Amino acid sequence: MGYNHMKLRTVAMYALVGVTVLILGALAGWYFFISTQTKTTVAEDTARGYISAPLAGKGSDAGGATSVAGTLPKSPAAGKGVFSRIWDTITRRDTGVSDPSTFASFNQDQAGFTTDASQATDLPAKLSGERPPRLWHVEKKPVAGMAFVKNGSSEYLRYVDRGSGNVFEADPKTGDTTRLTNTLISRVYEATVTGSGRVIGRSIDEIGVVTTFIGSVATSSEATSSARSLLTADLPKNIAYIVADPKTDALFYLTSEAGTAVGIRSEWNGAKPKRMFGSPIMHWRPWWLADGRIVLVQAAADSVPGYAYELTGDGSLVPLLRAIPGLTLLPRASGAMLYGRSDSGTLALFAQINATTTATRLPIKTIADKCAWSTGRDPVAYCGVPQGFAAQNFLDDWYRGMVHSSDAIWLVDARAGSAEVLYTPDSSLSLDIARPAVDSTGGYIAFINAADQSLWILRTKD
Amino acid sequence: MKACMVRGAFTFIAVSIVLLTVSPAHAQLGLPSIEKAVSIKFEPLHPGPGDTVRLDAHSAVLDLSTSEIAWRANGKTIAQGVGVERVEVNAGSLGKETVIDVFVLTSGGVAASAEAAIIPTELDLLIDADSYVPPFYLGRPHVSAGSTLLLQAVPHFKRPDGTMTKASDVIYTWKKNGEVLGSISGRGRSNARIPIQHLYGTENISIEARTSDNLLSNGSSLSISPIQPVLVLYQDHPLYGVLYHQALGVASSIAESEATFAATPYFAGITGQNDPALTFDWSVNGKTLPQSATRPEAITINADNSSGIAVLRLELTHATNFYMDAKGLWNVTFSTAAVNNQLGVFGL
Repeated sequence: MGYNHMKLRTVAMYALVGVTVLILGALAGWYFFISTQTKTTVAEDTARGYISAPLAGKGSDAGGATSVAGTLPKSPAAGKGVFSRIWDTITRRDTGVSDPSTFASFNQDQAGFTTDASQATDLPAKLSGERPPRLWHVEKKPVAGMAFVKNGSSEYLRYVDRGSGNVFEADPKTGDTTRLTNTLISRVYEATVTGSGRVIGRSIDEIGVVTTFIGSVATSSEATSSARSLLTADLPKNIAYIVADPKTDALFYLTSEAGTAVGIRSEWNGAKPKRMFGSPIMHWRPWWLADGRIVLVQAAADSVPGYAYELTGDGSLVPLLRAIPGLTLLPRASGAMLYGRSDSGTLALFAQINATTTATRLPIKTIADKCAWSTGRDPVAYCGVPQGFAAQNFLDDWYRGMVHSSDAIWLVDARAGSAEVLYTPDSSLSLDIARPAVDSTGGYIAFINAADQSLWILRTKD
Repeated sequence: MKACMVRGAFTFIAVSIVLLTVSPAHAQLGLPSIEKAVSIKFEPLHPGPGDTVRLDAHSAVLDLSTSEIAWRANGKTIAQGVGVERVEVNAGSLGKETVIDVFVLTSGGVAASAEAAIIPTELDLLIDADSYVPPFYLGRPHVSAGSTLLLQAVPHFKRPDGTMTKASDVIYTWKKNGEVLGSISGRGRSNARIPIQHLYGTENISIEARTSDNLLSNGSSLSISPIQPVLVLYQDHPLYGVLYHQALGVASSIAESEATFAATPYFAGITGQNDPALTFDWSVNGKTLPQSATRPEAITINADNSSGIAVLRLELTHATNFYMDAKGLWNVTFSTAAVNNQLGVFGL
């Protein structure tokens, strides 16, 4: 009886030890698998010049030249010990596989990998609630495009890395940046983020053809790896310009057929294309406003008259602005417009509340491309205004990347026809504001510095 | 490079001037139809909506300066008195008719009158070019020799009854330097493609548009001065592609020891950068380089074991367009300049 009991106990102990060894072996195998995959990704990133991704941390402030990647605090998982990380990986707590930032944090912190469990308390700055500087350099590397996107009660700046096509989100309140996708799409020259957060990316293929895709960030359930993919659908080739309905993501794009510009309206994925517009004039820039109107303005050239129209449902053109030299336009859903004139080296900006009122010349000299409407009820806009005199052919040279301005940011009250300086960067900092966007609260302005295509956010109130 | 100048690009405005029959008057001195001896002239000739229109009464046989003249607009007297030969009225909205009457009574008792109608219209004359610009360029190309001028007339012709006249129902007459371009004119011919064959001089393009019943009409004109293509050099970055936002200046620095550059001939009259008629003559530090078969517009320079300074020269010519002669010169300093002092040929 006693012998049998001891024998049974011994067998149980061996079995327990065996199970423990198996569990530890499985955990070790899982760890080395993760580690190998991480190293592979790091190697790939490094090979394409993507040394250190801005995964979850703060960028530098305006005055500092510190790189975004260089100042990244460690992510929550990064400072933990091996077993903590393995445990977190298994339990998907803190470093869950559906969280792309966590995947990236493995990539980022290989060098700092430690077994010191005490470092698990080394929380990154993103959890400290610290506000970023008023002028925040979100991303130093070239950005293809961006827009503010709402996610629940929060609002983030979603942007696309030009080199990798990865989609990031920056939180203007906390200064955190998070990589959402890890799908490599190289050389994204231009990107648009739609109202729902989809990404329209544009590039050039090997034979010089313009390619366009629309992509959605995979949800957790769609993710096949520890990082999310950008699920893309190809749109027709050689699209010259493309815009999306701010409410439905439906598309309107311009392409060419037999030497004629053609305007096509389709669903968000390119399905059900319908021709709406045709013109022998090839170079138009479309706008799709929140009130459903589509506005077409001729691409601008210094001193050359430009026209702007509203495109109606039956394809006819209702004139908005006529024969304005060097016309640049920023329409608004309510019917208000900001438009610029560039004639013989002189810039002027005008505000018009609606079609029945006359335009007011504003006391600033800039182009409408440097302006963005606030989304509030009042027709208020923010504009980058070159400090000093603009060059003779500023518009043409600016579009070609031959000149860059050093801008201050002005607040424009279109109804009052007035403008006042909101923010002037330090004299050591030159910002050439392009593609600005304002969040829904009017609290933040994001823009791309045209000189290097880096991304910035300015808090409108200090 | 000087931008294309479009001078006097006026979109002229509209009017339909309908001279109608005058009221019967007392015939005197045996002159037939003396009652029609007065007419009305407009300035501008084609008023647009809301424009101030100057009206002048004219007569070849009557002395208006001593005559009693009365003006009416839509039946309401707007001016009258001796010698009131000129008045101003505001045109109505698009398509709204304003009937103008002028009555003249000379000191000798001769009466004459005239009637006209102002119907504001609008005519847009849109201009573009098929000259080369790279993908994602946000601006509009200028016209150069060898390119084609693209034109579109957009009439906004509204009849007094409120109906809009379709562009395809309007009769267009295109002119170049005063000569009618019959082959591209006619009913519904609102678009025009005019090849620009010369670099120098100015092309004056005009268009007249009218309805078949001559009730509505308008005109517009513009002057075009072709320009030379603008040759711009960019770095073709291995990760980001061609950095169109950072044109290289006369003197530039590159943070790498090897780089590829792409030349972009803005506004050239070509089908694309790989137009087989184009010849890219590259030279680096005085040494001429053969043109790449696959990417003639690009050049790769390796500055290892060199001074790190490269003088790039490019001349762009066209096999058939002898006016195209774009040149560029750039001094590029590579990052190796600080560590390498020996002269080299950039690994070419």
